[in-house]
Amino acid sequence: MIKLYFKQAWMLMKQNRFYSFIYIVGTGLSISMVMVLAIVFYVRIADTYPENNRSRMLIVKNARVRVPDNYFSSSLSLKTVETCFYSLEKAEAVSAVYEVWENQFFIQSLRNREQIPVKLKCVDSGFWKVFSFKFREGAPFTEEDMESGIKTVVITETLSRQVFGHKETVGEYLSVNFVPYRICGVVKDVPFLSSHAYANIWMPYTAYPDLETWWKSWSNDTEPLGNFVCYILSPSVQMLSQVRSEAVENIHKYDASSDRIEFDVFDQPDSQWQFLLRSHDPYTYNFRKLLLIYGIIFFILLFIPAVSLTGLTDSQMEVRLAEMGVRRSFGASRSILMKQVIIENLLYTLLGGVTGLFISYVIVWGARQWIFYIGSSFLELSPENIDMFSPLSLINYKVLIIAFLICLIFNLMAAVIPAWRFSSREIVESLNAK
Amino acid sequence: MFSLIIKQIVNRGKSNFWLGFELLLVFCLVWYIVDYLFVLSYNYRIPSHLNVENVYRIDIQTLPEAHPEYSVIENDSMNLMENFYRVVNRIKQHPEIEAFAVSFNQSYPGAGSYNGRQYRYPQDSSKFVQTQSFLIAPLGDYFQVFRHMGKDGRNVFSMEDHEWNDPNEIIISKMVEDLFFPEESALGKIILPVKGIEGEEYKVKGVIGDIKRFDSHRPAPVSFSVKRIDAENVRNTEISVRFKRKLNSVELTSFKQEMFRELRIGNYFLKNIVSYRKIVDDFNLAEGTIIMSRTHISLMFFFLLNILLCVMGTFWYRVNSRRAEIGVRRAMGATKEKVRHMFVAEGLIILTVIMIPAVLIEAQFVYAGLIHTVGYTDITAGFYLPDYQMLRFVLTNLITWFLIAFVILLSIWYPAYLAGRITPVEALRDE
Repeated sequence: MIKLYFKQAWMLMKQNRFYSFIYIVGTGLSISMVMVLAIVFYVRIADTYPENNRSRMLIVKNARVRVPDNYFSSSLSLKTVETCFYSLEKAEAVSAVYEVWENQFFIQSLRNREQIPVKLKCVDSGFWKVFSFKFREGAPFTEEDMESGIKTVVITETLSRQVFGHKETVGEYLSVNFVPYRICGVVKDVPFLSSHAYANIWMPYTAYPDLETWWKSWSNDTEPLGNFVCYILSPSVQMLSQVRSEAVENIHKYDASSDRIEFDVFDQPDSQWQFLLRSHDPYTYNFRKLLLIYGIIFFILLFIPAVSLTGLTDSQMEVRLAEMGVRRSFGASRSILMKQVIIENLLYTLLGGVTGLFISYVIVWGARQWIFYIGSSFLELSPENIDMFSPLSLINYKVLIIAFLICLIFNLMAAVIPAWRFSSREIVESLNAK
Repeated sequence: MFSLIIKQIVNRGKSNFWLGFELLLVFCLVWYIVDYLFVLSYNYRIPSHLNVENVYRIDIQTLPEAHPEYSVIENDSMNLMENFYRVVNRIKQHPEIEAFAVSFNQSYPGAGSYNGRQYRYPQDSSKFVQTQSFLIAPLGDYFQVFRHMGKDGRNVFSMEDHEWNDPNEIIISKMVEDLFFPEESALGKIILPVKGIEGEEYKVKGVIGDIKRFDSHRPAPVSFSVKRIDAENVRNTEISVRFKRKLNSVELTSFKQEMFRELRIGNYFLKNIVSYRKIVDDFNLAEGTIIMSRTHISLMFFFLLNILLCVMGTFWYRVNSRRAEIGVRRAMGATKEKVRHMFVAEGLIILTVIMIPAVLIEAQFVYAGLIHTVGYTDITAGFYLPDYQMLRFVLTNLITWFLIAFVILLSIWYPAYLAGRITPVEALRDE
């Protein structure tokens, strides 16, 4: 029966080329808008290189210390990470990453006198377990390197080529702010939007000059604060909540250990999607409100084209009213007719969906330099010639399923009302339509 | 004719319902975006009285102790100062350089950091104005480098004319003058800081044209003061230069290479040379309004496209199902144009009728305070159109009407053209 409906719909489509064209393109365009939004979120939330474990990762980035009549906000100090997170028993791996401010580090190239600005991250050995880097050459620095503060770095392929040309670079020395560091590994470039792992040079934080002196010089009360962000990897997605509650417990204990200061991490650890929503405003976040706002935006983006397509379906139904009358007078029930209209419409929607997916890929690729920043202000710009994300990661079954679901919702929105209205007309009236 | 079209619209109520509903939704949404873009483009049109073309920042730094060429002797305060002046002189003497300036703590256009300084109103010392404060060294000519205009907005303001090196003399922007001394000139007047030591006061040495921190915002009050360079603060300086002409990338690279050699003095070395065009553009992009406006514009296109498809499809069907009627009309002597006009008028009348509930809905949003004004500040001196709520509301609604009307015309054109082509014979035969 369904096959017959599709056949009929196909014939109908060939008959009304202009209408079909408008309907399919319209569906495509309307779905593409929502798809673009979905892709924007997908790229930032789904597991992708080298953040292949985003779904079982927890993040603590913002912290606040309250002292009588004052407070300070920043990221975490190493001591906080050590007491609260390194000690987690249920976690598979924990990593502390020191966020270095921009424009602090330059590499001195031997080939010309120019200083190459780099994005540096100071990390620990757990970093290479939390994130899954692909090593082109060499390996991460070892725990022993880490403990004894050996000056050693991991760099990206591109940086390696830029500084040394094409030869093998493991074992070479790299001048970072005029201090030589031994290269122990070369990794595949990291897309900019994998922002937790993104950098082009990583060193053990024990090898970093003047770690944390700035905060220490500020005040004794700010001991829990520093520039570290902490990543906690849970052994599995199911274990996430257990790991989280262990971390929360440790934070409470840490807070209770001092009477003078109050230490607060604003309900973190966050999962990746919470981290993303929080980035708008770390301290007065309201996940429910933000989800509602995004929900409304998604709804409007689907609803507007659905209404316009409902108008179209409606006009088309009016022309086909006589056909409906004949079908009903030969015994077709209302539900059968409704089913037919919805299935017919699904064909249009699927064709439109394919068009829409294509259009949305084109839009995302064309606007890749800015579209991922939607909604944020005072953003960190990507350096030139850096991939924002790897385009291949978008072509997988998950994206297709998302697209199909959106099509389905959209189809229901656009077809149900006309189908219901026209199948409920009196038979006589319908037959009389022509 | 008119009453006939109205009758038609009423009779086709059901099919017009969806069209009208869609138009209503889109009208409100498009109005919201038009309003946003209206304020934004008004802000963009306000001039910022300075110019950063051909201006570059020269970043110099001192070698770290780990560097083999690092010299302890060169690091004492006297050598540090002397070498700094040598660096500045080498830059100044380069034949391509028109003017140079030295400033402190990111006192330049497109700087990420904001240093505020508050001054009291002369009329009422309990009130104050927050200004963005720029700190300049009495070396070179800062205003010449960035081509700051005087308050008349025509001539380039110059510091050399004023022999300015007294820390208690400041230069303010026109907005501060308008706020503090509404009817008279501020030159030579005394203003007081909010937080200052006893007896601290500033004399106004000059007034420059208003400048904007972000291109997409309104101008904000600024003040410039001067500070001498010493061995302590020399690390926080930045050197800016204006070239006599536009250098191409090859010339720029060779200038850079030359400077890498020339500026290697004492412990100083050249780190980088960056164009202010890039600094300012990156700063504006990072602020977020540009991306917001791109998002708004894409959404507007999307909504209008929906209108286009909806109207086109609906009218195409309408033409088809009214063939007989059109045929009769043609047979009775209506011209092609008249038939076409009838459809177009139908579309426009629906739009205009829809505008009434749309305006009522929009007004609710305005009353609820949900309409955001980009770059809003409560300090404004002079005329600023978007602050006139009613006028802005009327204007933005008119613009929205014309936008959607244009799209309706565009989408009805093809179906109406088809309708005009229907010959009486053909249509009546269908009956």
